[in-house]
Amino acid sequence: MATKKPADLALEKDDVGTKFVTLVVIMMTALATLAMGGALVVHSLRASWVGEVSGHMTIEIPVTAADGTVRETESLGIIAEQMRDALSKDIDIDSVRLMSRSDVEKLVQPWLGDVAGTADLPLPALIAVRLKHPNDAQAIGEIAQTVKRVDPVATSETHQAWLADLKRFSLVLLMAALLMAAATIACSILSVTGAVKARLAAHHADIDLLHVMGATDNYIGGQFVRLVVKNVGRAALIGTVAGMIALKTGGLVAGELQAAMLPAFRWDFTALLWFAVCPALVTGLSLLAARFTVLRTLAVMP
Amino acid sequence: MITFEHVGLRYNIGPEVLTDITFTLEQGAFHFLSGPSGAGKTSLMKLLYLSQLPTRGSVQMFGQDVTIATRAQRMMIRQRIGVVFQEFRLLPHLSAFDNVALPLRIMGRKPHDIKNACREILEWVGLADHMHARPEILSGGQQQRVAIARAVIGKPRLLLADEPTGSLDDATGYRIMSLFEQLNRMGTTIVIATHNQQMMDHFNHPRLMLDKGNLAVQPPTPKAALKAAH
Repeated sequence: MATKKPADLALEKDDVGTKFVTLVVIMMTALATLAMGGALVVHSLRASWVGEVSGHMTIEIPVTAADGTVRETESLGIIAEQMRDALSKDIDIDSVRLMSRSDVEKLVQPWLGDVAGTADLPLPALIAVRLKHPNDAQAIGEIAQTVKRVDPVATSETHQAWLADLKRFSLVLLMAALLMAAATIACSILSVTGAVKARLAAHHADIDLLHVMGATDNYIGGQFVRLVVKNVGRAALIGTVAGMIALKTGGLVAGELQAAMLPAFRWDFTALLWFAVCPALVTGLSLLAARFTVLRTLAVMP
Repeated sequence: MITFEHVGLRYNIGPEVLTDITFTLEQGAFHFLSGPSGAGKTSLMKLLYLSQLPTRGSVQMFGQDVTIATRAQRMMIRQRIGVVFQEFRLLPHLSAFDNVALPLRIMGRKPHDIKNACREILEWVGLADHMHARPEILSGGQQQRVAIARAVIGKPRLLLADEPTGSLDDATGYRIMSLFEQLNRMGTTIVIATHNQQMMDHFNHPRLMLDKGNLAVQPPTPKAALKAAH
């Protein structure tokens, strides 16, 4: 005696169609996983950039004084030390670091070339300040006043404009990655919908027979939904694992090539949660799309 | 139980294939549906098993007007109708048992009840030994009996059969007709569409005669007239 209830419709018989859709879903889910991984890398990169710059201030004491005279390196050094002492007393400042001439030379190197050892070259004095409250505009204003009090031509820079550009750029990258993930998921769902439509046409006579026996649209739709959950769920899982393996491999290669440029991909709980969302999303949306397609088609049958 | 009043049917914008059909089938009635090819038998059968809805007139089935019934209500009406198709329409990937079990599964019956009912009905049609056989290895007569078992397992109030003996030898055909008569004695209303004059004379039930989309109801032929004819 049969112990397992067979499906009324032989939907799984369509081997070629099943293999094709399975392959498409695997590929698309793997791509979506990679895109999601890319989004996570961009997100982490953004956090690391913002973390490095945010909360910092740079004070520049220019070589040229207010009256247009060029100040000596020595006198600049004295002003810089006065500036450091004045800023150190500010309760809103966490730390103050007077940058050495060699640090400044490194900073101008991309524009002026190697200037090390050219003691005659007038270079501004720079002071790196770490703020206690990066978003406290009042504190930043007070620091700027202190800077002007010590040296009227000195400027303070919170890097907000650069930070804003950086945030915008990383947001665009993040959106692009998420859009790519969404597009691949949508492709996957469209292929499932197409396969469901093809099967509805191929099994029209059998579906009509079930209707004649009194089967409701939900009963028939359930057969398609079970098939989609089983096949798409499995394919999406395989695709996600494949995508994760590709990401891991790519991460290792990229790490070896240029470890300093990109932050290492962190396989933490959040990342794994995002990757788990991918197959669940593909399966869930495919299920809904399949159900909607079936019910809409059956509704026009007598 | 079933009343057709001034029913017309046309497909799309074509001519009416059924014109002003009016008849009543009482509970426990047994009718043959006959007529020349193209007279509209299949269309009338489709109206009876709700595969088509009339383009005009009213169809009352089991106390409900099917023309205004909701989709869900029509599905419930269909569960009270058993249909035997001329070409059997068994699902080839399912065994005889699973084909027969379909209507009960659709009705949501428990697996244990389905198992018992299927065994019983397959024994009744003489196919207890072929329960697990797929249609492809069954003979035409056996397939027809599976189709009949599937049509009657849900204890339908109305059984419709389209040329149920058309592809069978006489002996099997008469055996199947006897099964229908047994069912009819148990209260099932039966309509059999057939061309087989000999069969209609032998079992001698009222006839719904269709010709060019029009229907006439003929009472059973008197026995004396039948003897004279043969």
